[in-house]
Amino acid sequence: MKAWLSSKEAGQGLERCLYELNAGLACQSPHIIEEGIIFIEDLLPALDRAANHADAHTKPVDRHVAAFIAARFNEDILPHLRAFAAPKEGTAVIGMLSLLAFLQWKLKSDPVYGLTSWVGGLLGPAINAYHSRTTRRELEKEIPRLVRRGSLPDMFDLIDNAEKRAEDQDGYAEAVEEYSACANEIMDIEGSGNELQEKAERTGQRTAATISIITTMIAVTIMFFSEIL
Amino acid sequence: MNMRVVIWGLLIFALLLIVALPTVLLLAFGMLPALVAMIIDRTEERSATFCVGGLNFCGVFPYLMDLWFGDHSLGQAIGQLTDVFVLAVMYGGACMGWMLYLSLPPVIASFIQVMSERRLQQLRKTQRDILDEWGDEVITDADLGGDGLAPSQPEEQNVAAAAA
Repeated sequence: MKAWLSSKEAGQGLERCLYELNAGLACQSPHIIEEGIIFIEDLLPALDRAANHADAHTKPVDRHVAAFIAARFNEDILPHLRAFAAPKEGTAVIGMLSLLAFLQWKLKSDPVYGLTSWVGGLLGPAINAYHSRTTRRELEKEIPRLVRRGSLPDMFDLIDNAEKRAEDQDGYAEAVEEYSACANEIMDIEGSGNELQEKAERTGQRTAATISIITTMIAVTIMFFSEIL
Repeated sequence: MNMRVVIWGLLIFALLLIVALPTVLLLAFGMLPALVAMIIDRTEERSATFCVGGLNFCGVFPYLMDLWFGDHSLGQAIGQLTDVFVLAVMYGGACMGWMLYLSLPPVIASFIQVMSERRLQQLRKTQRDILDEWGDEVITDADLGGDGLAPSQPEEQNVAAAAA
């Protein structure tokens, strides 16, 4: 109890104590307070309905929803809550999505079209966590299709795909390296000045000598053989 | 230069004077421009010497063959050396060598310049493409030597752990 009270993170604090001490207390989140949600199974459908009238810019998971889930859901959701509490907006949004997706998957809930649409509208920072503009465009194009399926786990798989993220990181690292190599080569070319001119002149002189020697060899051979044959 | 080499050189030259005086005479006068080029060319690679000498020899060779396959006499050699047309051919070859030596480097320099500019354009286009695909933050991270990539990774790992 003391640990919950001393923590200010979402899913902890006074709200957590409230739901832990009052098993029959309905979720006090402004989004769903009127629905009087007591059981965790009713949370996602309630949030789905709330999506119709909620401000699309607010998050469906606030401190009350997070604490309610933490108190009523018998699974380890600490990593999700930690991600949700991250100061970086992209990570926080992914944390929220992972929490809701985990809930839908574990509770085997029906598709939640409204909630998926609501969450999908908030994924901008998570999508922007990818460096590749092509990947971002692909994700943005894919979200409406997943909204129509009402599946939060699918949406989470799309947004936080470990393979895709690793590819993005590797690609970005390669891009940085290539950009740096290009910049260095540009500096070399632009900074060479007289050196390049001298090199070109030396190359020209060598080429002239080579042409001269080859011409002589060919001409002498032709003249010699035309004389003796 | 090694004294021994000089002595051997003089011996061979003396022998050639005795055995093939007309050839030596024709070469000595015909190849004068090459000798001049060798003297004034102070570069390590001796490009001017090879360039002028090569084409100069091209001009001399037909008359050398006239000597070798015709009348190999001093009179014939002197006759050739006093013919203006023959001298024009021999020295014309050397002149061509000089022209080649003097005109080719600027052409090559221009070519290299054009190639460099083309390469610059390619590199700038690559950089633009990189920025279009990966955003302007690449510039910052490139300046940091890639260190800018590190901070975002631990958080991503947390999220990945959450997903698991």
